[in-house]
Amino acid sequence: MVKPNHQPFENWLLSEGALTQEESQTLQEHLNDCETCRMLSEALRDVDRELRTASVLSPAPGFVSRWQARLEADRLRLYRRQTFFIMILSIGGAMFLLTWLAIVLYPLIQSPMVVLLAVVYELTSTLTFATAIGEALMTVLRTVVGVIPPTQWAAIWTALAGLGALWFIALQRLTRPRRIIV
Amino acid sequence: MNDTESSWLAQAQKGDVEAFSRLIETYQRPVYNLCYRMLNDAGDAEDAAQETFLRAYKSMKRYDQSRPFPTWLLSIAAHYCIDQIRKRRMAIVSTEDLPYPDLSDDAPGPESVVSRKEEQQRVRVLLDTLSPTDRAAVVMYYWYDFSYEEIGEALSLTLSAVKSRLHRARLSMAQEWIDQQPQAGLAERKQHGKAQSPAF
Repeated sequence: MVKPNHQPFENWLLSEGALTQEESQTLQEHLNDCETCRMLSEALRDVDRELRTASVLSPAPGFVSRWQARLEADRLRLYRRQTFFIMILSIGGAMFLLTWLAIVLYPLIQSPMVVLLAVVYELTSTLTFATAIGEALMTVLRTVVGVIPPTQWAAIWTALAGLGALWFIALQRLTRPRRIIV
Repeated sequence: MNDTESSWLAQAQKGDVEAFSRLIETYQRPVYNLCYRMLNDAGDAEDAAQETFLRAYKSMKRYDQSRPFPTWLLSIAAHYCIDQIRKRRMAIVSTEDLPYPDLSDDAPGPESVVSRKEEQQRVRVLLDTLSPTDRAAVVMYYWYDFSYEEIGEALSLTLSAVKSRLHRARLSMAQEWIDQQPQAGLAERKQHGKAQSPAF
């Protein structure tokens, strides 16, 4: 015995699109004869009705207040995490610095005179270098003052002042904390 | 969406908690309903709905106002619930033991409460037969009248995938419905459903 093929009828029953008149008639004829497809058709109709008429459930009263409390708790958790992270960084930095200082200061404890002489030598060298640089800069400045006319000097200073103001405003905007309205 | 909601949205995008709270008041019901239908548990649904709004609040700056807000919100809720279901898949929970949501607001009489509970139970059994994504698609389709395109957008699916999933889900629920009915021809239907539907 050949089993009836229900697949096309099943597809038609599940199809959301409209069937042609001929298809509808064929389907109706099949449903009149086929108990299986008729049961499916009825079940689909019942399920559709059941779902479409099912109510939309509401949460318990005070949902918004609970959410605000949760938001606050979430912020607090984030703040604590950030504080902990900063603390760990600070302790790590301090330990690194102390270790470095201990390594640098160890020779001073062992032979203070040698270190003192080295420091004096370094200071003298630095001062000599700074004096030479200063003299060179002064020479350049004297030359430039003579070459550039006063109007151009005014323009340069105005531009520098503008850039300084721009830098200050940008710094203010970037470092200002984000405002949260509660 | 009306002008007031648009204004709340604009303020919420600037971090205004009060404006976002107004949006929660408006959309708490559909979000909670989706979470409940997905998770089958009032406590989990409350938690998921709260988490949905928290994630939405944190992502408000990234929200594109040209997109419908409810679709975006339900998309967050559906993805969160799908993740939750996958996480707890290992734990076997009997649907008989799960608590019912608080129905007292809309159902004052005891008969009405019983009737609503029976309705919830029937719906729960039907939705239980579906995969998490199919369940989300069915909830959006039947409860919120979302179009295929909107479901696809919310669940990150193609149009054909949405159609295919809804087709499969409706068949699965119809089979479950037949199985629940104490009538003749059950064995025949089961055979038909499983042997004659190679696609499923």
